[in-house]
Amino acid sequence: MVKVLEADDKVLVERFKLGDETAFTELVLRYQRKVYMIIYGMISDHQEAKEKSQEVFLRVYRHLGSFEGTSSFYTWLYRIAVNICIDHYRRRKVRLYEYDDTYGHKPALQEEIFPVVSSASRETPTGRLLREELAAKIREAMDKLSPKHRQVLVLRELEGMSYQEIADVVDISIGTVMSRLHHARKKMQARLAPYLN
Amino acid sequence: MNETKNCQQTGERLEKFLDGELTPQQEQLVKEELANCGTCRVKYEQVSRLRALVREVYVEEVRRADLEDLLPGVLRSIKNRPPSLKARFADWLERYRIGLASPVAPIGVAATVAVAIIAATLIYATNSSPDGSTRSIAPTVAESSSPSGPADAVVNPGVVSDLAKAVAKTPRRPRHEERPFRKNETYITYYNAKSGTVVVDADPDGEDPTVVWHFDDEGGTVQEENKI
Repeated sequence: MVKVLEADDKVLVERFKLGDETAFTELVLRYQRKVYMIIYGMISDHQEAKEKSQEVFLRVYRHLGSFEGTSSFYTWLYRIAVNICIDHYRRRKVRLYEYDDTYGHKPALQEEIFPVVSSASRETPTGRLLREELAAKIREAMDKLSPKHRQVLVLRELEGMSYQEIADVVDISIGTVMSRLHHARKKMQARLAPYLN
Repeated sequence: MNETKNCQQTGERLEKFLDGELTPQQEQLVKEELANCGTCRVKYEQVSRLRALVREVYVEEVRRADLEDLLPGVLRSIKNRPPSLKARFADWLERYRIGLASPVAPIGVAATVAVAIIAATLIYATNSSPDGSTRSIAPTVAESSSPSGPADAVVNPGVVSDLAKAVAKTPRRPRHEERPFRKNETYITYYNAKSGTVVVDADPDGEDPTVVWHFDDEGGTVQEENKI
């Protein structure tokens, strides 16, 4: 399946290089939700995730003409997405530093409503509240991860990428991928221990 | 339940097992250990539950996210983005290429060449003075060496052009050269581009009056003054 997609991607990239703008539209439609998933997984904010996703595709549009195809298109695309998230973290770090007094008083994530999952219609109100609380705890635990730990966890758990693919996207060794994944999971497990037993 | 050496090994392999990164043989070993060891099963369930929860929260939220305006937003940004310098240059080249193909193109080319030649001549003329003083083509403030001193005038571009030509034609006189004027002779004896000063010496008996120009930065009208 991945092979087929890759082949299609190549065709679309070539079409774009020959001046066919609809090829770009097809690439956006094909990958927009995946890119959004990575970014939302990294920053947990729908509005920002949408803006950053648009930024990713703008960069793709700008640089696709010079994309040489040494890596697959989606590796290149995800790398752009990850880099934009890292930039976002760097800027946020500066902001947090500037407004240090307010840090820690961020509105709790519990304010967001946990989505209605497939089994939710059968849930009692108490069950739903518990589920909402759990979802908030999970997002909170993710938000506390360092960007480096979070990006490998997102690429693995949400995108289902292999260690090698993650290594290619983040540009680190497989050993580092495994080490970061392990530490990220350990931290998540420690923070969510009461909910995992 | 006591942790054995096998448990330790399985614990280390659990993540890889769940990530599908083990060889078939290693996978088989982990499966056997999970079937036989309660401690390993608890660990396995914790890790797999964490994965399931993370996926459930994020995947579901993203599945429900409304991304309908994402593509239109991207296309809008592309459309509104100012073209790059490279693109603008390519566009200009293209238009120029098309322009050259039009029947009136030779006129435009001739005009361009003429302007270039005039500009080059003026630059050469103003820089070839024997007294070596600093000069530029378009004089601004002019001071006459005549007793009447400088006079004010303001220019329009056409006048600047005419004056520049006149300045270019006027021979430069070495600053301290003393000799009688020849008929209708006019000299620029000093020119300072920085201060915008032009000092002109002219034949007082000449048929053509010497015209001294003063260029006002504010723009306005042209004033000519007969200094002599």
